[in-house]
Amino acid sequence: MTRLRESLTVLVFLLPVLVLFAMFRFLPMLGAVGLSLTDYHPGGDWRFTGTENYRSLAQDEIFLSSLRTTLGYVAVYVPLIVVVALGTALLLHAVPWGRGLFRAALFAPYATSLVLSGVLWRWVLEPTGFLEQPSMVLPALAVVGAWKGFGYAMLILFAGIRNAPADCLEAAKVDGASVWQRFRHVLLPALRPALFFVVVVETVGAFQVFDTVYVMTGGGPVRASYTLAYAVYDYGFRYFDIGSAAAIGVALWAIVLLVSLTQRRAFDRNP
Amino acid sequence: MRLHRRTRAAALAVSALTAASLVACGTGSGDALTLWMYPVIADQAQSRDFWHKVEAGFEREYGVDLDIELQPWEGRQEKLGAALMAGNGPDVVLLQSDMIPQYVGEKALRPVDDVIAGSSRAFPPAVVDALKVSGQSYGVPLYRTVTTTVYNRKLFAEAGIPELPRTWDEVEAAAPKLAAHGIPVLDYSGSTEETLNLTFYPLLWQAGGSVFTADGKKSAFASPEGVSALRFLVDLKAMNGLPKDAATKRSGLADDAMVTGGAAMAHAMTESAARNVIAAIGAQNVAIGLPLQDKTRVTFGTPGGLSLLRGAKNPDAARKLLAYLAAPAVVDELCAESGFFPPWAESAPPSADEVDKDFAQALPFTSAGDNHPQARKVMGLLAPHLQAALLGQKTPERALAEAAGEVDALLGSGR
Repeated sequence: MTRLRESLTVLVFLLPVLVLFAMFRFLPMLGAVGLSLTDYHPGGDWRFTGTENYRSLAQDEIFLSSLRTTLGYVAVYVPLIVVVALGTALLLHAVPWGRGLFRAALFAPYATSLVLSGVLWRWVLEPTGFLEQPSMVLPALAVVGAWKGFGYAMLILFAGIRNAPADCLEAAKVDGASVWQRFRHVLLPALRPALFFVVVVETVGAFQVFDTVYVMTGGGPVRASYTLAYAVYDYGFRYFDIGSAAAIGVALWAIVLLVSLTQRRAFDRNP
Repeated sequence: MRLHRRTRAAALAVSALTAASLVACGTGSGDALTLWMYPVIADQAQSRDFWHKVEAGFEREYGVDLDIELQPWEGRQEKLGAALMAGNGPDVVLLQSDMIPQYVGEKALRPVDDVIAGSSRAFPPAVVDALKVSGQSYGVPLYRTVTTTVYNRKLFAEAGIPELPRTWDEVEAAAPKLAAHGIPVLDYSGSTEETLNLTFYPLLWQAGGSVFTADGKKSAFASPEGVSALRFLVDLKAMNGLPKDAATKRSGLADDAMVTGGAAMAHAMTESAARNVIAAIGAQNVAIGLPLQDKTRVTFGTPGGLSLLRGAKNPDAARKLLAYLAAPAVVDELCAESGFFPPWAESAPPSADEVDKDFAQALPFTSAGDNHPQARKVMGLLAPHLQAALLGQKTPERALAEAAGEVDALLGSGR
């Protein structure tokens, strides 16, 4: 009886999160899947179209190009932010004094508004012409995204470094291991859970990149920064092609899920 | 035991708060009529005062609660679409003529022919027709916008050009002289965020081209006329006759090239934008001319119309609101305060200053463009290809041909 009561109490405490998750995550997701199978009009009319939206997307060059653009962004952004976050976390760990001050300073961009950062970076980058060159716009956006987001990843990795076995590092040092060898064979394996978390979170975020694109480039020039999330916005809210927008959203979800599972397997296989 | 009681009390409180939050999410805003209006009157305080007066006047006359929500121009389409999808849209909204076919196609509007027929003053057929789809009116005319050519007279004088260019040939002839002084002859904003109605389309029409074929089933911009319009821009770019970032530039009120003296002329400027330029560089340095001429002299101008949403909670009261707003007393005052032109058949400029008079001269040359349900999506498809041509990645012929391929596929898909 007591156990049942305790379980109920736990359930009640979890209820807010479960209800909010169901209402604002799970149900909209189901709704999006449903919409992707319809031709839905903002006026309220709709008809069931089955997989027509998915089939037309498969032949839609703009969707396919936005998929390539998104993959390109992920390929630049994720390694960049992981390297920057890991580098700053290691530097932070090595700082003998004022660590809190440096940590706060490095974390500051993460706490600023993404839209505001985008506007400021647009002012910075516009005179350089980077936002006007199709070949430079994705790296430029990735740099802005990494600048904005590395603070969070840095804190996760910094915590991982602090939890690394000091005795092993010490023993390796005594045994004559170089700095690189200690990093590669002692610290990096210890950081695996933190790195996995960072890589997955940043990959998911990179696939969903929208704000910086919206503020800085509008998907241009010449669709060079037209990402999947931007296509969802364009198809849905500008062209009112709700079914296609929902289908792109579902495709994005499936891709992110697939990539996350692949990353998990890769991390499991390579200890 | 005491702890358990506390725990249970906390759990109950958490549940109650969750329930309260969710109930709050579903709270509606009542049964008042809602009108979404935009900064037709640019000055915020002036706009607020005017619409507050209109709101009070309608409520007094009809005894119906009216809520006029002043929305920004920015993100207009997206906000309205999202509100409609959420079943949370207004009853009446201000739409431009080229937006109406899209909303009709989405089955979001109701016809308003009866309101137009009941107007105490006649509207010109061209204005009414611009707001029609398949023979039915979906917008009650509220005002007309006009765009035309605006010059920085001082920059032309400094470059030794005594006569302001009135044709494409004259613009091209002026470009190198101004470029020698580091000034692009023509301001151009090629960002995909910009409406082509104020950038490429006026040039396309001036060249004698159009966006769609007469039956609306195919694109028509990849024609020799379209190529000529795009080549005009590309040639100017090559002569440093456009801003360096013309392909991706966004227009802005404060940092616009004309406002800062960074460009010598603009080919499709609105009256409010022209007044900004005058305020920034002085009336003595500004000249307002007729629209540019190539094969024909034409510019963008559109009636703003009030549309009745299909989801209006009380369509009868909403029709009364439309009739009230479209009455000469309201329209004339709105046009006097906004600087837009009244939609009546024989309209004089709303006020007697020189800027109004100059823009009134452009009125006979205005075109609202091709009204087509896919007009806005076609802009989205065409704009990146125009950018490619301006960046030198494609020739005008190839850029327009590739854009036409995408547009024709869209129009052929029947979506």
